[in-house]
Amino acid sequence: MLAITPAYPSARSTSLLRRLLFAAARLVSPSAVERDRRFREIMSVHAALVERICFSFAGSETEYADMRQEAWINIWRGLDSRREESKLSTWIYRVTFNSCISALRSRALKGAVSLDFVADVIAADPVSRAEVEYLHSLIACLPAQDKAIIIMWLDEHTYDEIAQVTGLPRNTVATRLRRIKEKIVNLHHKLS
Amino acid sequence: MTERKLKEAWRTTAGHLNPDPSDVYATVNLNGKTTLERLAARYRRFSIVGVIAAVMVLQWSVNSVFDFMPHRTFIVCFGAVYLLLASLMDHRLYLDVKAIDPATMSVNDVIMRCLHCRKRHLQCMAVLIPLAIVYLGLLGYGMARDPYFLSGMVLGAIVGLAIGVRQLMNFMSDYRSLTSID
Repeated sequence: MLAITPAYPSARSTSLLRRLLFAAARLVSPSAVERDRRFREIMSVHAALVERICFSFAGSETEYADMRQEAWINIWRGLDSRREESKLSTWIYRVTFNSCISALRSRALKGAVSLDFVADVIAADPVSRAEVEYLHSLIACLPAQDKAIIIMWLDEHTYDEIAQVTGLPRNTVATRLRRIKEKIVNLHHKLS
Repeated sequence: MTERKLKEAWRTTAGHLNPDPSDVYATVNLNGKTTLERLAARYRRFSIVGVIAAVMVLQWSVNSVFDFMPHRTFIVCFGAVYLLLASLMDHRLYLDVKAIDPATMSVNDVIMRCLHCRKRHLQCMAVLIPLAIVYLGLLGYGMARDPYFLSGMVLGAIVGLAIGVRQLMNFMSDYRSLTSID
């Protein structure tokens, strides 16, 4: 059973009046209604994807909540500017990665992650949670662009799709993926 | 860790991260500001403050309160140019940050642009901080005859330094993690 604690938007959000007006505009305008419908549709299909990516990038619950918030805001705002020739899921990957990268906060120690955060987000049996924590700690040690590559590879995407999202040439993706896997193996040996 | 185990662990993670879309929809605030928007807004605020400060400094040249100041024209012009330069640099950074679009740009593009903005910010500081020191020196020289102005200037410099350092920390916290991006 999922144990995500949905984080309410931070205190930086706009005033109540402005939010009410915005919500009213969304309901009244036909294009806004259509946009809202498309957004809900995207959310129903891709919510898990966004969660996965934000979880992999985040190092704390605050960061996780901020990244989710930013990702959905950017998806909402980018709906009209999305190029139709790209697959929707590819676009979601790109927007979410970009949102996570721009919402990253500094950490005292590169790659340090609060394991309590993992435990709070993943309510699973201890064995599964340990597996998730371990994977999370391995991915946390990678630079942001490498995280994007490895996440898409773990999701079984082709090199071409990874190249499209990251903006790197296909051969570069292949080379970097090989190096990322080597790095993970080395990290695994160090940690074990 | 083998590729197979990596993928298995990833599938376990994915299996436990399956939120109810209606829950997510209920908690997302689509009116909120993103990190890039907050950063851009900060630059814009500083740009506007720079222009206002430059105008205020310019009026010293006609204000009889400052008649005692030696080389008043030069000091006023230097101050106005410095503040306008700072305002221009902030405006440039505001435009650069605003141009970053997470929805249409690739990951590499966003990273490169963020790093570029950070580098630009530090370059601007490298230019403006020495100029600020020179300007403060000129002001101190210009106002040396009036102890009250001098005290006010010193107090203003201390407060300004405190605010400036805090604002610098705020700026850098939006950029800092980007140094570990590649």
